[in-house]
Amino acid sequence: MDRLRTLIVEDDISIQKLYDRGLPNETFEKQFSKNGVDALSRYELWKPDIIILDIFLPEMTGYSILRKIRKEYGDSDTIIIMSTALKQGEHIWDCIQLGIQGYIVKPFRFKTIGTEVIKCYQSAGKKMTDINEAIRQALY
Amino acid sequence: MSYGVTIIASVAMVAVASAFGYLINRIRNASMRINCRTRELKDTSIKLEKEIKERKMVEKRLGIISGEWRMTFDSTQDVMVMLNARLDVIRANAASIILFERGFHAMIGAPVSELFSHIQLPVDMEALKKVYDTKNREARVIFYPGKNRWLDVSVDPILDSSGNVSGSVLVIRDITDIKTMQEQLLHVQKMDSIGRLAGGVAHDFNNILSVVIGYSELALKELPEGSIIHDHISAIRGAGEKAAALTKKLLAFSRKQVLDMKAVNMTRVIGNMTKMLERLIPENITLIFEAGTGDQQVLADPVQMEQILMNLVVNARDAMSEGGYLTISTAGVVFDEDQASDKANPAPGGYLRLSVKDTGIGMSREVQDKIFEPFFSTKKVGEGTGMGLATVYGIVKQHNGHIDVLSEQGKGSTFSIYFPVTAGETEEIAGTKAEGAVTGKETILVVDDEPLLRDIIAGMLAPLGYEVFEAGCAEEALKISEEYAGSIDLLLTDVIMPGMNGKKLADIMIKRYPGIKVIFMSGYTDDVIARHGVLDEGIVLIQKPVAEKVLTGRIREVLDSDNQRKPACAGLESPREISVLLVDDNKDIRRLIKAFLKDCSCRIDTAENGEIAVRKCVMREYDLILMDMQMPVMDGPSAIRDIRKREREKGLRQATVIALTGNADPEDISVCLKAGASFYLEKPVSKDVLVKAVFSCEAPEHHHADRDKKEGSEKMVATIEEELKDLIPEYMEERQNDINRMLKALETQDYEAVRILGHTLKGSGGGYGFGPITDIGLQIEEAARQGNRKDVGRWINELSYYIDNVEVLYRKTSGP
Repeated sequence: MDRLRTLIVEDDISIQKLYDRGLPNETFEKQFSKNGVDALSRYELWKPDIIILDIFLPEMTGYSILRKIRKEYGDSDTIIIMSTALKQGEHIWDCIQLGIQGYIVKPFRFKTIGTEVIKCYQSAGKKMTDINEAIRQALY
Repeated sequence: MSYGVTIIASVAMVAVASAFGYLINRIRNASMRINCRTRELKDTSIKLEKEIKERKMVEKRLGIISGEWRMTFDSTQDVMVMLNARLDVIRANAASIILFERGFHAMIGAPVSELFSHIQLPVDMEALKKVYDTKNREARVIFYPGKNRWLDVSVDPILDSSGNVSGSVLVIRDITDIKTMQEQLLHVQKMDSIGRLAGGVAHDFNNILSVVIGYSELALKELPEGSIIHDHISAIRGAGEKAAALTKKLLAFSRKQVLDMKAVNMTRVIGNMTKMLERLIPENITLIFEAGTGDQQVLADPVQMEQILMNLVVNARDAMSEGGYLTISTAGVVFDEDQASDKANPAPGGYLRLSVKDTGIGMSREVQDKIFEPFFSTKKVGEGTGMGLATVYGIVKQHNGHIDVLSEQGKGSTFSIYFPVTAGETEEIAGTKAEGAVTGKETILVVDDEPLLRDIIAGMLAPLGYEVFEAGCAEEALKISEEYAGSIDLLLTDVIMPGMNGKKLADIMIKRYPGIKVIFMSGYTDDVIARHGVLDEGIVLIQKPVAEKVLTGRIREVLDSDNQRKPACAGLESPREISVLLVDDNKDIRRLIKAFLKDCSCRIDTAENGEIAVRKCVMREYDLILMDMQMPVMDGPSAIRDIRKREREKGLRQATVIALTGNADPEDISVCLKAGASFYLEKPVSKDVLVKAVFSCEAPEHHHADRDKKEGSEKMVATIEEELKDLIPEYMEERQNDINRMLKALETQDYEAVRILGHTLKGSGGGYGFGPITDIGLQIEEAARQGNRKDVGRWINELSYYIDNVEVLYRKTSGP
């Protein structure tokens, strides 16, 4: 059973750990990245199914990473979920125009983050039949 | 014959022919010339035609240009008038019609002076005429009382080709808005600089007053009461205390007070105060309170709100010596972007408006401009300090509020204050929490020879859940303790009693119950007891009569207090000297404090600055360090940091460090608490306060900045998912690092770095279950965005306090 390859781009270690707890290993194969350059190289090499992108990153913003993937790599398939702290609706709008499958508002509950990510993945029209059960088992 | 005829004929022929040829020639020439001329004429006419065409075009263009000019002049709101050499109006633009209240035809040809006098515009005609002599521009700013506007009037000469003045252009521009804005800006700047000055002076002034008050106190003790010198010195002390109170108000104005901010329901604050306010105003004034609808909740210090209200009410009262109506009202108001663009209004957002309106004598414009300045007073000398409204202004500004005043002479004044509204728990809820927190299940032994008082106290404590025993004397108390199988947690005893005194009783009880806490009650003032050697060490004393709230609060405090942090309590069983290190660069202050502590069993070392203090701490362990904050060479906070660092490294017992500060600037206080001070005392510090603080090693109320207030009122608890338990210590440590990073960034004014850290806090706190960290992060982010150092400092302090004190509970749950 394939797990969802998930790349989490987040510069804050504390939040990385929350993701780690919230996304169970049974369902998610995770890699973490703290900045844009590293995230893009992992993206190229590892080809994740899902990328969770913090918008507010040092040096290269999540928005720039998203634009690179969508425009420069011309990849519109990889599920990209933006993560944003409270009250930043304006950024999200720019991201939506580039094509994202969902967004997470921080602070998030680590208990529900898994289902949120899965929902975003499902809504993107991916086939979930074979992993559905695993997820259910893992999360409920 | 015929031959001759022929000849003649032929000669004639020749002649005719030649004549003919000549004629022909001439005709030919003429025709050539005609042709030529016709051509020329034709050319000329073409030229003319072209010229006419061009001319028409020029005229047309000129017409357009003149029309454009007319449009231009008519479009501007400035009044433009062209005058001839005799100062008659030749042309006037559309704006002139409005200002001079006349049509074009009525204006053209009229002397300009007539236009001015018609609307009573006070233009200086002499200055206007001067332009014709000097050929230089004349400009004046004048006030137009008819319309209540400020006008900029300028006249420029029109020079003809030979350089003579043929007329002039008069331009009148309305500059009221600019002038108002400039005035507002100037006012704000002026208030700011006065504030800074006041804050700066207050600090030094407090040191001076410490000496005045302190030595007066000491001298008074040496003098027999009723003697003339005693009276004189007591007058000096009284004056010193008044000066100290004034300094406090100056600090309030300079916005350097420590605020105890909480969500406050303004209607409630006013409601609680109406009784008191009614007492302030005479019968001929009717007090009306109108509670408005909408948001009533603001983030504010309730005590300061009361202060504001009281000052405004007193002011209104004094404006209505003949009686009238005093209306206090509240209303939720919202300023939108448009309204906020007017500099006179607060920034856009929701506000609570608190208005105090009187029907008194009102104020002139000049007075209105000055009312918020310190020491400005319209009252007679001696009747007012001129600090009332300045204090209000300072408090309002410190709350990020806005104040304005509407007043008309003879009709009264309305002061309106706008506080940004806030969401969150109101003071009401906080209040019930505070009450809840004074309850307890401990056992208390109350000893007092006055049965009524004993009853009252027992009646206060029993309903709070305490188990209370009563005794009428020390001997009875000992008997009860012998018979009672359980442990007694607190002894609450009178000091002076028939038989065994309270101190003796306490000594015995402490031996019997090693953890027991003791509170003495006494009708005497502290220093009397201290002088009689009754009050020894680290023991809490409450003065009788005692208010219920004070008693119950104090009991809870004492029961919750931690013995180990109090060096003075450590030697309770065998009293010993407290070793004190006194650090102050001011020789007079050092002498004064030594004199204050003379009668106490202290061994006092002194140091002139932080560096010497740090060195002395290496040589000797002190129980207590009294540390001035502002000193040369090494200041207080740095010294405290060094001392604390050494204590940690060497695993030494922590000395109690009391910071002495001359200007209760919240930022400075936060710095010294952050550095590791146990609490702070404000200068000028009285003997009573100092002695009490030294002996109990406890701050007077409110002096842990925001700390000790919270301890009673609000237990900070975070409920965290069990699964995250292992992550929490590291998470907390990281936040501690964040605090250090932010403080470091703040030092270099790197607000961007602070903002990013605030942003990160915001993102992570709630995720772990620490909602307040997210809230504080948001506040830090906002404050840093605005470059508001004070707020950033305050919120970092909040965060630090939260992290140090939050109690983490773990919750086991299954599923999301």
